[in-house]
Amino acid sequence: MANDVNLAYSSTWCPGCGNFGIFNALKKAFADAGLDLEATVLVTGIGCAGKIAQYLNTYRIETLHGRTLPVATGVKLANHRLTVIAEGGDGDGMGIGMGHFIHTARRNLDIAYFIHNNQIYGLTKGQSSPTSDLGAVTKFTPPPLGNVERPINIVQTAISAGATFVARAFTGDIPQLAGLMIEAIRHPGFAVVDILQPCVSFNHLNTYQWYRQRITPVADLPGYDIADREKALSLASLWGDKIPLGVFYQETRPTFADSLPQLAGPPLAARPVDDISIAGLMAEMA
Amino acid sequence: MAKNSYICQFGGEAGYGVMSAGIMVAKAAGRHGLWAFIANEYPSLIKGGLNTCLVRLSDKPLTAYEERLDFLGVLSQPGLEQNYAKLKEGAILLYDADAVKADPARLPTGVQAFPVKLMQSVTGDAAKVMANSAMLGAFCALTGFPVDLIAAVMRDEFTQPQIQARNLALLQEAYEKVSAAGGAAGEFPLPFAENDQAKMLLTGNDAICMGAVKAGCKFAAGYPMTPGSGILTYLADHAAEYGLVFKQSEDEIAAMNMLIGAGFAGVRAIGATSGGGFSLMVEALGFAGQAEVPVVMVEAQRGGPSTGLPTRTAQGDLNFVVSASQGEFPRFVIAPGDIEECFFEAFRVFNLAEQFQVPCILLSDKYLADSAATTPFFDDSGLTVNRGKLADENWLAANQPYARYRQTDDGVSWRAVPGQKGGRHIATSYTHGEDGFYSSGHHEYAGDEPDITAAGLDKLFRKVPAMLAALPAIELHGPEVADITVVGWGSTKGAILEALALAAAEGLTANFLQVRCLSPFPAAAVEAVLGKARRTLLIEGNKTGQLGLMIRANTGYKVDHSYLKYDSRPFVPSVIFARMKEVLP
Repeated sequence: MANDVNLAYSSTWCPGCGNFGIFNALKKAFADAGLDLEATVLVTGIGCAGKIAQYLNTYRIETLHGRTLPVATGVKLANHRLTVIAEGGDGDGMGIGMGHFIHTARRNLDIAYFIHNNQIYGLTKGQSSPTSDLGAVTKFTPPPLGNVERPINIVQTAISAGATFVARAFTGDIPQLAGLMIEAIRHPGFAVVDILQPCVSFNHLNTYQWYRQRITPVADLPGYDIADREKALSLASLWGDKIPLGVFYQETRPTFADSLPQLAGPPLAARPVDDISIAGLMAEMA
Repeated sequence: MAKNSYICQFGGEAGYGVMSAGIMVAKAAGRHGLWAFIANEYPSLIKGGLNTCLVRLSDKPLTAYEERLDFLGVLSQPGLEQNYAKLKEGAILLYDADAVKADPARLPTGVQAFPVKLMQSVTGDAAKVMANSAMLGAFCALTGFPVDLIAAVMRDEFTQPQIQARNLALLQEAYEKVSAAGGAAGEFPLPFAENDQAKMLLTGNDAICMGAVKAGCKFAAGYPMTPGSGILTYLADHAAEYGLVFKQSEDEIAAMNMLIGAGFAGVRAIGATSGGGFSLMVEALGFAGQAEVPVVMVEAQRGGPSTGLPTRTAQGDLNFVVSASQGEFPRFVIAPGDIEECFFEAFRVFNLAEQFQVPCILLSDKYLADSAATTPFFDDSGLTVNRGKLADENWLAANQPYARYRQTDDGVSWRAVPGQKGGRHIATSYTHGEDGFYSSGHHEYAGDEPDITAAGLDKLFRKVPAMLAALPAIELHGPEVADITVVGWGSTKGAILEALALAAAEGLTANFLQVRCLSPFPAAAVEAVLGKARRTLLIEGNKTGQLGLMIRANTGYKVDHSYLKYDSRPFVPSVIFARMKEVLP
């Protein structure tokens, strides 16, 4: 079993970038969970978040902007024994990739999806993102109004669409983040972790300090019940003076792969392709 | 080529079952020594409109559509309105006595018209659906087609006992009624016999699916789009039995990316769509090209641009498909010419995708996708799977450190798949070096980017000579030198071959250059044939003569004449032959 996670390449994230915390948490999660890195696939999008694939020694596929989840779906269905982790930013996942997010959630494939949510487009140098707060001033939403579009609430959207494990974490708390990552990876179904992450270069609103002043454990809030969808949605709606972190919702529901009798056996990738008889197919056309 | 052919067409509103009527005639004929070719036309709607099913029968194998009708059976007025002129002299016209009025003045000479109450013989909601069985009974009575042969097919087609019994009764009742009223002038004009070989009745789409299953395809993804959907339906129907997974995707972007995920994970995967869906897949096509992930896509063309003509044929996407995506990378674009080629090229393309680690497109069209023909069972005994440089763990152990995109003489690198020991790597959409790391993303590479970029593209394009040698990229049908050389690609093959036979019957020598592989373009092979051509006629189902432009761009050769058909209907052999004669001196 391979667990040598480090590669010799240095990262190109800005000093102080929130991605470093996510990177270190993911490495900790891999180690703590004892994952076989040769049976793990990291599927990433394009953007600062997607670059994480370049620095970790698993099987990796660095896809197109916004297309992590369909690629992850193909990988998982092709070989359902693999651990499949998708990662991308808020623009990647909630903007261009939003359609895939909703459908992957309702499909409930056994994929862990970590969203690096910095509420900004970083790699393109500072445009508003689907999760930018109201009033956020960015390159594409100049003053005086700033952003006028209501931000997407990732946790709420994930629960509504049918994700079966939904959590929020903060890159500034690596042990908690790593723990949630492990839970998500082990959860049998589509597991979403909304990871709050400052962008030190382009998001001057949602800073480390801004988050630290607001984050609070969801489990401490009144009405918290991990198995109650309505309560989870209600707590997920909190975003302001208090931003709850932790697992909002979890349920066990058959995954899409569970519904396929043809996946009861070995993975598709392990099946022989030689000498397949099509005599039956020809006979049924006669 | 068939000289003795009998053409019958059934027409009625969508939902009347005219297509299944045609299929039953074709199956009955095919099981008893004859050959059939079916061409459907239908509008994009669920109920109403006009569906037609043209069945051409012969005692010889058929490769094409013809439109002069020996028999026309119609359940609705439009089915007759559009077809007066297509009736041959002496043809038989059967129509529903209540729903259709025939204008004797518009009937060609000698047409025998038979009004029969076809729909009235059934009551209630079933009337329209089951009128096709009454129509078949009358068809048999009027043409001499043996009614017991149709009845036998009906027993196979309708497995639900009550429905089977009602349809059989309607068939028999109409047959007897029309026979009693005069009925057939004599025997059916083609000889029925015992089959000396097993034959199927299948479409181009069916054949592609059978080739895919034979090739070990285990994953399919797609979004419904006519005329590609038939492939997805077939694979969904057979998924459990053949151990493959079909995933309907939220859109075509997702479909192509799912296929890439499966291809990356070592599974042979296919998708199917038409031009509009393919447009959405284009960015991912480039991803497959850049990341060198094997993937197979069927693009069944329909009329365009945009939504265009959802259910009609066209060959307008050639230029688009060979050049789709930003940047440059090698890809296969292979256009099967007929149903048999659909099977064999579909099988082959899965090998090619893995041998060369390139995206592959099978380019068909509505006419080829949807038309059905009686076809002998495929001889698949010589088909062997070739997965190219797919590494196993022994190879990986002996070749450390492993680099996914290692430079090689043939441009193809050994491919590891997730789960294998010793094969971890990054597959990426970025321009990258041998180890998959992207050129400008790492300080380590800062000074090397131009070298990595150029070397990466050179690597991809080193594959091309072997790609062109890996299949019969062109085929010259007929004599090496001829008075006229017809040039075409894809589904026109059958009609062109029949036109060649018509030419031969009149003592003209003609040959046909079929360009099967459109990308990479087989310039040298095309040039060699055209260099000997005395006179060339380009045949394409598009407005601008796209293959002609590709030939000129790649070889400098300009075709002499063009017959371009872009009216949403297929080519007709007799019309092609007429054009050939026009351009001969």
